[in-house]
Amino acid sequence: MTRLHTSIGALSAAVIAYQLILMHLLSIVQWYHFAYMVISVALLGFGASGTVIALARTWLLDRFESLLPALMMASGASMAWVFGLSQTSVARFDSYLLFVDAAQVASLFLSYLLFFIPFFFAALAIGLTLIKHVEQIGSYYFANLLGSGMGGLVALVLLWNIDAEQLPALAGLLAVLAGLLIIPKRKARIPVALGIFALTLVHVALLVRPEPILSQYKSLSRTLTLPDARIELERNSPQGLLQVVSSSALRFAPGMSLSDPVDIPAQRGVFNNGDWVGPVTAWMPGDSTHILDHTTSALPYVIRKRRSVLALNAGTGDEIAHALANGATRIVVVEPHESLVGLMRSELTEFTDSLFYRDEITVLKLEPRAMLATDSSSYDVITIPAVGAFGGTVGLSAMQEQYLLTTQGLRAMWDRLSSTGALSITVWMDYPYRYILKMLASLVEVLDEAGVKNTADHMVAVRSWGSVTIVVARSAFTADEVERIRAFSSRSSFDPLLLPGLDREERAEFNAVQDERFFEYVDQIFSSERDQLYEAYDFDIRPTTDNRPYFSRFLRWRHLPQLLDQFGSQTFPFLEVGYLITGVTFIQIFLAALLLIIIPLFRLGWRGPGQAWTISYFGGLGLGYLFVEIVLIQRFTLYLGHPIYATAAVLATLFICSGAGSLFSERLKPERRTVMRAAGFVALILLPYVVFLTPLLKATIALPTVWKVILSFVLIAPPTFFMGIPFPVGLRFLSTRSDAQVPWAWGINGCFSVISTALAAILAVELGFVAVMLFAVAAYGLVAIVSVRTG
Amino acid sequence: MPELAKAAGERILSLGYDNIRTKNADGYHGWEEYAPFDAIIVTAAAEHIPPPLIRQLKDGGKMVIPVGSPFFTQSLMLVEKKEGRTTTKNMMPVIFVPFTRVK
Repeated sequence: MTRLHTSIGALSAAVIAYQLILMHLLSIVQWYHFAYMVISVALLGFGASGTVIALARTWLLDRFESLLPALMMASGASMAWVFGLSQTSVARFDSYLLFVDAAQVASLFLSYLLFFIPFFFAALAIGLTLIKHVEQIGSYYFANLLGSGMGGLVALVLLWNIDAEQLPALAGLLAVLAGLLIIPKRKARIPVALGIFALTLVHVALLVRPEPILSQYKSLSRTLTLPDARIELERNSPQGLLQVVSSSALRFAPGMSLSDPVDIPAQRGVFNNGDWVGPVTAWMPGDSTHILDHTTSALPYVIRKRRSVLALNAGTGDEIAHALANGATRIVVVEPHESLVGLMRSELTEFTDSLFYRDEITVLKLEPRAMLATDSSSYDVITIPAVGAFGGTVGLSAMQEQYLLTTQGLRAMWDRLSSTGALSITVWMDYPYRYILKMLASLVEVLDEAGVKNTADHMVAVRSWGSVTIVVARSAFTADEVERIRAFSSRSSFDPLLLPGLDREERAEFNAVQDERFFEYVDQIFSSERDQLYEAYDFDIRPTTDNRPYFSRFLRWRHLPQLLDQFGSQTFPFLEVGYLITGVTFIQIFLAALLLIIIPLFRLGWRGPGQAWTISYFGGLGLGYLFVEIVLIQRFTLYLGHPIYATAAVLATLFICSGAGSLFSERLKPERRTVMRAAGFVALILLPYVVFLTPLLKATIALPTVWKVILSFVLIAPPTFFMGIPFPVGLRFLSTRSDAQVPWAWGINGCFSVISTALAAILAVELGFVAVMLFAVAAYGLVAIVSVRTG
Repeated sequence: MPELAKAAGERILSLGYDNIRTKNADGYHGWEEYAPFDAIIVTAAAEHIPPPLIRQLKDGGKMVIPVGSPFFTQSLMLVEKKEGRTTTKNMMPVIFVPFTRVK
């Protein structure tokens, strides 16, 4: 192995580490749906570098030795700085303002271009190396892919140990070092000077620590404007940046009863990536009530005593203290955020009276779905964090997979209830009504599926001015329990929403709703006309499934014009901003791909036979490959517990295995039959994944992490190995027929890859993962079919 | 904002109103000294209806308050107290600045 191999490996590691770091930082300043944008931008860098190589190949290769270190250093220096630059007033964008301020769209575009720079330089360096050393392409390609695979690991190590602001500079340092490693012995003056300059830039970035500036719409931003608010503690990890904020005016008790209000003490609040996680409430043993006892969340404990409690995604432990105050003797706490549990068990212990150390409590640092799949105990009550957002209409989670709220997730909870046990779910009231209706519909369908007769006898709900708590019980509610609920409602100025024997007048005695049709919708969900409501309602309130786990996505494109009429074009985006942003990203990234990859190629002209084949073959491969990649990342997010882990694992395996496939492809003859079979074989090998991947992951989700990582590799490796074959074989086939079309093949493949990322995300939301995987199979199948007729 | 509170107080006096009191403080706590009130108007959003304000509302009194996450759409609530019972009515979606914003 030469220094150049090491250098290429290090650069590739830096690129992937930077990609993951960028996703992490964008999740902090904006929201996590920009992960798709980062993958697109990285591919854009690679696509555009292919075009530049096609246009200026000779010029670039003539200067290879001095240019290569310079490109790596430029990539490293720009990695250190572009995120900081994207936070300046010119480039900084805010998701919420994209639809009200045209300048924000330009800022978003400018951000893409900034993030694109390091990927472009790195891709140019890698591409030129592969062309220059074409006789040893196998070994350099291997160094590239091995480095890429290691990059995921580098990112995870950095994210666990380093402050968020210093991460891009450290990825940049790795790229600069890769460049320094290959400074030529002759004519070294300029590269050395460049190296010193790049190192200085990285060093300054490490010192300056360009700070991520949070969107003003993030919970943390507004909390920091409270009197004497300050960040007391910070802890970074791949699962997010945790921050603990204190303020004398931080009093959190949304939905509290108006008739027996208690004064709320100043609390500390915990935020993850700037989003609210929960309050750190001091609860002392012996306290007979908890703040939640003055909200609708008290309902399960009003109905009957609950000894064993399962608190899923328990966060800062509010529900734990609530259960203890109500006499629970066994509480199983499930919280996947390891750093959060660490904080609750260390620095925050003094503020919670060692809540997480109490004898009654067992803490499991697991994904709730993974825990539910392995657990065989039963519980008197299962709680999850309040659904939706207080005040409603946030619309940001539209693109977020919420596996606990799918019918399969709710069913898994139902199956863990004792014979008198109940599931307690609080939903924030929103307007237009969406969260509450979808939750009720989901629960009714789960109970139907579980064979419960007379669903209405097993479900009660109580509504305050801001929240609804639904309690779904294994056994039908008794007359005594119904009376207790009535008395509790009356005492607390709450209104029963669902209750056996409920009068219509009882439903809005204390809290009138804005639109009385709300009650009709609720009744319709419990009737045989449920499907008609789904069909006619302006928003999508159908229950979600693991195949389309987007509980917070309500937009129905068909109803968009009338919703815009009703709410106005400036207000409406606030209802569905997360999803709409993905649409904007898709359009912008498509334009950027045309601008940076395709249009420059017209300078070369497009000659040669079979242009339609070139477009469909290389376009189809870009589409199919990326669709598979995105589906795998999404499927493994539930399996491995977090998007960052899933992305790192999937990308690493994908690079290594596709690389191996590409190396293997050199043994194949570049002829029509091979090209057709290579693509057709991928379609065939992917087909069982459409059907069996989900059940297989479901069946093994409970395995220890090490086994899950090994199984992930075993599952991802075979198709991705074969997915590495059609592209290089196709290129060699094309070059034997029409060498002039090769740059076009690169460009078309790059362009389709870039747009496929956002397109796959949109299709997953609209049609589900199975459909996206089917499209991938169809794309490879189509590629094989068009190849039958070519040549 | 002390400057704004002071300027408003002076303007009210210069207009000849002598039955209006002004105070620069965190509105969350209301103004116990002059309670109970027939009407309370809150023009900044809070995440819950402040208990001190409910207590300072006279029987038969009305309060209008936007509640919800600051910066996002909130609900404009009408809170009424009648014979010891507190009722609410969700009037319309609104957007107000956050409740306590003293830097």
